[in-house]
Amino acid sequence: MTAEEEARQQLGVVHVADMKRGGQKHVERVERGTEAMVMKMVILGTSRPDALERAKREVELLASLSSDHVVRVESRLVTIGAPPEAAAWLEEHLDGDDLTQHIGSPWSWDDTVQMAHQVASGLAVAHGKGVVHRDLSTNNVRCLAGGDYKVMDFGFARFTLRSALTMAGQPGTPGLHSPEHLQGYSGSPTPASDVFGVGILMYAALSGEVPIPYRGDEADYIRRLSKVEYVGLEVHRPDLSPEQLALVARCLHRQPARRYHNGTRLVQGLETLS
Amino acid sequence: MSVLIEASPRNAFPSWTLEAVGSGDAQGAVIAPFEVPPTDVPHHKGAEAMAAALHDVGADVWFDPMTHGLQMPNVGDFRFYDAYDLWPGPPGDLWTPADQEGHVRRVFAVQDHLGARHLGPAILLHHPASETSQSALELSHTAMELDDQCWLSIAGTSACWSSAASALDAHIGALAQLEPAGWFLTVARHISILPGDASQEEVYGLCRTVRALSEYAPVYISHGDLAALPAVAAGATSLGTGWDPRQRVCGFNSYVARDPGAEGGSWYTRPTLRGLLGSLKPNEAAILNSRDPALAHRLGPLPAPGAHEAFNRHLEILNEVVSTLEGLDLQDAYRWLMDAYQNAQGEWPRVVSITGTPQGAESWITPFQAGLGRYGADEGW
Repeated sequence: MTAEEEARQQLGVVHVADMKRGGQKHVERVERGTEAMVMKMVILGTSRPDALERAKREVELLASLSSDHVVRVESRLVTIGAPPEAAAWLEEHLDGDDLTQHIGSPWSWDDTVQMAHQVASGLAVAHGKGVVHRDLSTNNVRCLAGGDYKVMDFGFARFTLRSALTMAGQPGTPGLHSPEHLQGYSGSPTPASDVFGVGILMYAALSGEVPIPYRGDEADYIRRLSKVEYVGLEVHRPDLSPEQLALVARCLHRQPARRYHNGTRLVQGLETLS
Repeated sequence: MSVLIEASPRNAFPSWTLEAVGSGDAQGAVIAPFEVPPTDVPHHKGAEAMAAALHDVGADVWFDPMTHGLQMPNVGDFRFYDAYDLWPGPPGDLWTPADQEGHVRRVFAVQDHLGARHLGPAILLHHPASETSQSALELSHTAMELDDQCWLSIAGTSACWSSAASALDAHIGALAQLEPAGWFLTVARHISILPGDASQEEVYGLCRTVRALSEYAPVYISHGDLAALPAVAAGATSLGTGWDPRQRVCGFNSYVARDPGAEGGSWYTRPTLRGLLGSLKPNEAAILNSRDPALAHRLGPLPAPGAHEAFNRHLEILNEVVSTLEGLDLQDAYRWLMDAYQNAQGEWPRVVSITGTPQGAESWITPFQAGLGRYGADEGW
């Protein structure tokens, strides 16, 4: 029996179709009864046993989050093999497509605020439970067919099990990191780093490009990221008001303490401006 | 708050502090276990009596546990410290969560006893990204778990505050997530002399930090004195001072072991001159006054000779500058202080030439002006 088959058996689902298959992560569409779901499985590699326990707790925590703007976790985390070689869990199946598919032509301010408000609302629920996403990206925000947005792939287990780590031992996607992704110890990502992520999404929606793109030169990228060096949004969008520009700039502030501290504060900021 | 008197082992601490509070030149005082015994001992009023006297006149009472003092090299002046019950185990032992909680609980208990607001303890940082900074964050987290309305303290060496902006900002960002009721910030130096050995990088780091933290809560610059003026321009509401160098600078040498019976320290009799944003030795001031009384008057005027007089004038000047800065918005405060530094830069060469003082603008003004300037440039001013 393959690891995937064992995971499906433990979770009580049947395979429908593969969605993504990588070296350390496998995602497939499954069914539990008649209900469509997504099964995510990560290869543990050299993860420490305590990391596995922490991942279990984190998946339970994610399952306890209740928000219209966070993907719903539908199971506990199960392990495959003895000693464990992989871990898997279920999430709700979402229609629509990733935000990535919608970035290109500049959005209106109102459409951008609607997206940012819903993403920040989802993050606020997680932040309230002490959870940091750490990898907010256009691939991790789903645009549902009905026009709403959901934050996906908090990836607790993935990060805890160290299967998706990049710079400084942090997860994240090049071009979508916060400066705290470069730090270790006490300076690691916080909820304000997720706010930076929302700032990136807003900037990308409004301008068609991310503020600090990865151009293939890691040293150059790290330098620009650590200084948060980017072309001001007003260059791309001179039509925006100073208050609108200031809100995005505050999300993207180099100092995390000067951003909105968390999703809740960002939601308040967006509502105040509206 | 505007100006607080930092703790001093001098037996004049209660009387001079109460006098400063009475004249409106100080908002209150910071009591600390290295300087003040918990209860009265011969020649030293205890923390209990000091706090009661301050409460009686409506002054602010703080108890800074000075936990970061324990991490200073050669710390050994425990003549009063050991009389406090601040540790569940050996002093300084913060290895486990239980050790941390036990210490914070005891600190809060002392503060409750004195009627002081809760102020969490800090660990001295030499760099903002290290295992020690992680411990400092955890200690602050513990304090917030025990009282989410407490103030938190951040103590770092000059090297820590001078660290790369990305590392310092990230550490401060993590602490800011805790959202305490207020902040005590300390720059620890190797030696408590004036002017201190501030660098423009340190001033820049402190200004950046204050600007960020003060958006949500008041910030106090512990032992800040004149060196804290850029931080006040960046949003700090108050600073600590006193008559003794150890009250104006948090220096390692203030906490080393002393010979029994030795008082140590020194009365700070140097008069502070408003136009210089610095001070002169008494004999230098006398020379200035004798050779160019008009200049001395314009920069001062000079106080009458004596430690008490010098202290009162110093307080008066600090209050005047802090009040002015606090009355301005941040951009205007920045510009006002930059102008004041620029003016002082212009005055110091003449004063140096007349008095021969070895410390001129390069010590009293340049690092503060340059650090403040870098902060202002970041703000686009």
